[in-house]
Amino acid sequence: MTILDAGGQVPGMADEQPPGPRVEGRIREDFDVFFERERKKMIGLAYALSGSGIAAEDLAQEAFVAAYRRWDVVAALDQPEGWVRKVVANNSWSWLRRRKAESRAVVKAVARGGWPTQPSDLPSDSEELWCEVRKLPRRQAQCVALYYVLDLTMPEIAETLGCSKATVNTHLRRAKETLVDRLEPGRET
Amino acid sequence: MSMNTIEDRLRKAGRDINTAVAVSSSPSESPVRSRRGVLRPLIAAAAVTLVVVGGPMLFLMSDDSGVDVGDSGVSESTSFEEAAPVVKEYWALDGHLDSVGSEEGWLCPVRGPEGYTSIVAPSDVPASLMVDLPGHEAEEEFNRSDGPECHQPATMVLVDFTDSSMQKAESAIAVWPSATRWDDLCLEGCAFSGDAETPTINGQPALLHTHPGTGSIDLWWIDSSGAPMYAQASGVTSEELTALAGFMTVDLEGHSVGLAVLPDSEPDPDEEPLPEVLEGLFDRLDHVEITPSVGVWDDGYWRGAAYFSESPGVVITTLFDAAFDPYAMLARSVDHAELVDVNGSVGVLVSDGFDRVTFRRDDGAVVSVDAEAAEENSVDPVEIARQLR
Repeated sequence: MTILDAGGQVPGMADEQPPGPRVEGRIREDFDVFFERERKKMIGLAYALSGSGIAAEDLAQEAFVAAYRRWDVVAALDQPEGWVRKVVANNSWSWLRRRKAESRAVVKAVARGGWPTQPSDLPSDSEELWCEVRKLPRRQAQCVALYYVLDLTMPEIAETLGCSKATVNTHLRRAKETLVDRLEPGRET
Repeated sequence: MSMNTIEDRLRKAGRDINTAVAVSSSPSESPVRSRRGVLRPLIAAAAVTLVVVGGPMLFLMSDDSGVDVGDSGVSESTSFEEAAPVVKEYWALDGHLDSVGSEEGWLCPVRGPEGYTSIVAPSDVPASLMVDLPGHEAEEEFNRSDGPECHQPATMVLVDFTDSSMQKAESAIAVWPSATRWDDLCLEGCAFSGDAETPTINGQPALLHTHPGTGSIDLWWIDSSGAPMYAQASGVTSEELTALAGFMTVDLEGHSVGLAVLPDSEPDPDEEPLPEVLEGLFDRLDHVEITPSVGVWDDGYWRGAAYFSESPGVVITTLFDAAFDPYAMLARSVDHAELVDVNGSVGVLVSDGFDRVTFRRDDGAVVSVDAEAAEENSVDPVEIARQLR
């Protein structure tokens, strides 16, 4: 795990300087600028999918570190932020999967009175909603987070997740139907 | 609630996320601590067994109460005096140790993959169990090793055999060097009764214990390289598990290998069949020394072959759902398995009638390329994997 400092630099990676700024005829964005511009968005995406502020920062950092190490390649992409979004979405879901095993242990620990629960930074109604989102199938949850947190368009989500716009639309529709069923069963959708 | 309502709530929830992130400008706590926060409950999850092979060996287990006895809230900066009550609390709760003190037990900080883990040896453990450091030498050494500056010894074995029947076998903690003297560990130091057996695996003594009631099986053995091994399984017979261990050892050709079994896992049809513990270890595969080994993984739902490198690291592939009999797979075996370089990341090439390469892509996705895809593209699957990465 590498920690990004406040300036977006990666300690211990001084020898891994990305190559020069000009890529294929256009001015490539500097990593520091890119990091400052995208950092909070990526944390937000990770936050929505992981449900943990601490994990969200870790997940976003890991994605940026991955981008930094391949910055010569990533920066040359039309949308470097799309690549980072994809990493965040993938790794957030992996983290959530591990968290499931953790949750079972936490339930046991809390039952013994020995495990503090982590307070949420979100209003309770939003936290309830995101909890339900994380219970959705992976793709549906990712589509919801990308759409409502990052405010991406369907083509952008499709590109991030590597699927068609129609698939994204289907995921979003099914996600909302499921959420209505779960949050207020009996109501018509 | 209508779709419009849910739409509104989702939009508000999205704004709330962004607001929360915007106002949270301070850095998070140490990522290292975060990772430990993940590791601890994973270990604490009942019946989760984490086996790390190669290098400093850390073997952590939990009992059914969920207490991770291998990391009992004792940090690397904790002195023996500070740690003893914590450890005592656990052991006292478990009814195995009335008191812990410098004269009655030994506290040993041991370097593991995640840092230091403090463990304690009750004084009634036979001296012969203190591998390489018997008797007074062990006590003196352990009494000295009360701080982070002590990197050794990692040569300590603690097995709670106090009831002589291994009813609490899952409470055992063991930290081995790579060349544990197995005879010292159990066959001479302890008397077994009940359902404990001592089969032979490839000519090496092993220890097998079946839990009454649950039917789950613990198996300890030494592989052909001298590395201590452990497996836990349920839903199989002791003969099957022993055969499995023998298979693994036979195929090892001297390299370390482990078997991770996660009987507490639950199936999720929406999930990729990648067990969370092993997935975490997957990350360590970058830049390791490539030394192929093969094992088998089975959590009761998902089953497959596991491939290990000599350096700490595990990668799995060739997963099957519960309908597939892994032991049938063992019977026909895997023809060939090796770790391959996929543009700097480690991939696994498996040949069991056809080739498949599994690796983690830069974007975090786990990808498998099989021979069918390779045939369509008329290139080697490893080459396809490199292109995909």
